[in-house]
Amino acid sequence: MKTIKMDSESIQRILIHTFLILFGLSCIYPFFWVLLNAFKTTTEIYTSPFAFPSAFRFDNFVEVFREVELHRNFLNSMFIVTSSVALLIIVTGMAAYIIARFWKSNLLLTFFTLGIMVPGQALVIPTFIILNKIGLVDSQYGLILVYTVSNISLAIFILVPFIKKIPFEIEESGFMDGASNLQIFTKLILPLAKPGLATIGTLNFILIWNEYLYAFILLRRPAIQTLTQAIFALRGTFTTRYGLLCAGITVAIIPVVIVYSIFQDQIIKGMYAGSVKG
Amino acid sequence: MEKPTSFCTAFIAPAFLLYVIFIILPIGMTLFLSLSSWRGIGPVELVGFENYLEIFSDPEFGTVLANTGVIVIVTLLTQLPIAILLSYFVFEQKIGARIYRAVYFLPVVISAVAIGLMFSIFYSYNGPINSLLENLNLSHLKQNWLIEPGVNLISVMVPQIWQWVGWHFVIYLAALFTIPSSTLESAKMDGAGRFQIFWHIILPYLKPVMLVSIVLSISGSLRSFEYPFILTNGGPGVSTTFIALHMVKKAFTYTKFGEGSAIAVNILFLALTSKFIADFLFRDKDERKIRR
Repeated sequence: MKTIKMDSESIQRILIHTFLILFGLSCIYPFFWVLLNAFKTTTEIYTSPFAFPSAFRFDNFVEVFREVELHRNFLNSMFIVTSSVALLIIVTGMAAYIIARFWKSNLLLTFFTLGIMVPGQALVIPTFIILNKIGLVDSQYGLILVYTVSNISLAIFILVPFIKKIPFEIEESGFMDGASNLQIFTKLILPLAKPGLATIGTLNFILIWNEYLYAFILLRRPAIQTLTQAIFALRGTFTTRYGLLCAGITVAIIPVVIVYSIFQDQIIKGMYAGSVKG
Repeated sequence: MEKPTSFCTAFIAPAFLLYVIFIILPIGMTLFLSLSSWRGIGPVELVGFENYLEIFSDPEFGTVLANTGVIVIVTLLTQLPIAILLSYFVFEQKIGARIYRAVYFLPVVISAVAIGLMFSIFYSYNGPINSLLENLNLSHLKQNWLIEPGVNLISVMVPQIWQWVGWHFVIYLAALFTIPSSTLESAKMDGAGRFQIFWHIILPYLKPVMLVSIVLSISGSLRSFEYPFILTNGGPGVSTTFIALHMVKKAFTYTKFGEGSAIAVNILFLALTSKFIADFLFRDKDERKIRR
């Protein structure tokens, strides 16, 4: 009896490990495949898609950068994402401070957090119309405004309880020393709320970096477009030249993968916090 | 401490204004525009519920709704069970959880556009999937993954379902680590096997988190835009169009802002009702658990 039980246990273990590892491979291998094939010619991809490249040629990368100015779009994305994340943190930090400490009415908090349930995509038409009215269509500033607002509810929802947990005595001693409200906010509250702000920052950095729909609707001139738009444009430029497509995808993915491997814990924690959106 | 009203007003004003202008006002505008025949220029003319009658009598919209239903259900039935099983097995391993987590989460942080482009290569007729099938002597399975009716809908759904498994996995794994270890130990002492523990302890314990995960999964499906847009542009016809892409096309390709808004109202409605239904189905059980 005992041996049979042992056997079924070890079979189970093997199956479980196979499942875990296979899924893990599925998460890595596609990107690895793209990376390898970025060094091949399109013919080589057709004839031996799963082999190692016969030589590590950088021609595809050179041509990608010549045809599509990915570095320019990379900088655009950097500018747009950092501006909107910074704005989001400042604006929601200030509002959350007031809601946590001064105007503690539940009504105000509920009002601000209602937006959590609204899928952003559903508002793309009126957002376009409003920005068009104020002349911010085809402007990075318009997109920055949209991105700042897109997670305002979630940010306030996360920050208010966070600031509430900061011991009140700290502020009181600040007031004793004659600090103004503004000084208390910048010198005491913001530093103490840093972990909460960092969570919101990383979550939104990833979400906004990867956003496509609003960028597609709002930015028309290639010179001001985001990186996701440039990646999308590769499809039209290189249609069936797979080597070039692979090089383009690789260039687009590498910065994210590097940032991810360094700040992995922080990023997962931030995205996890975003799951309260459910 | 006194309440400095002007300070408070100044501090809350930026968030308040942005929120009202870009969230509250657009919700109102969507409802309003859905009752109009506006095409982007000229005065707005109200037409009552004409847009709704129009979209609901349009067979295309029927197909789009059916496709959306399919992606919602297939995603729920595949993504969540896979995520739950992965999280339980990884949790059971005790070691290596960090590595598994890092690997499974990788696709989540990469843009859907890049992944979509990647799958467009995989699916192409001369691409790796077909040549793999050829190598395995399964040439009869070779096909146009993005054109063949039925198959193309699945092809468009797969990357989206796969990409987000890691997010759900992380949510479940975090919940599993809050199970008191004494509960599991005593179950093991009583001789409960892996699957008994899974069925009688793990699943009931995960129920509140499942609510979160289900709502996330549904709203993800309702928002599905990038994959159909990049892989098939919703075609052939509307065979791979989901509701979000349909709305964007109606509004920005055909400049039918009224009809597009009526579809947006449908998205809002579906998102809110699915949340309420999920809340309702899961709520009473949670409350019992807390009382216990």
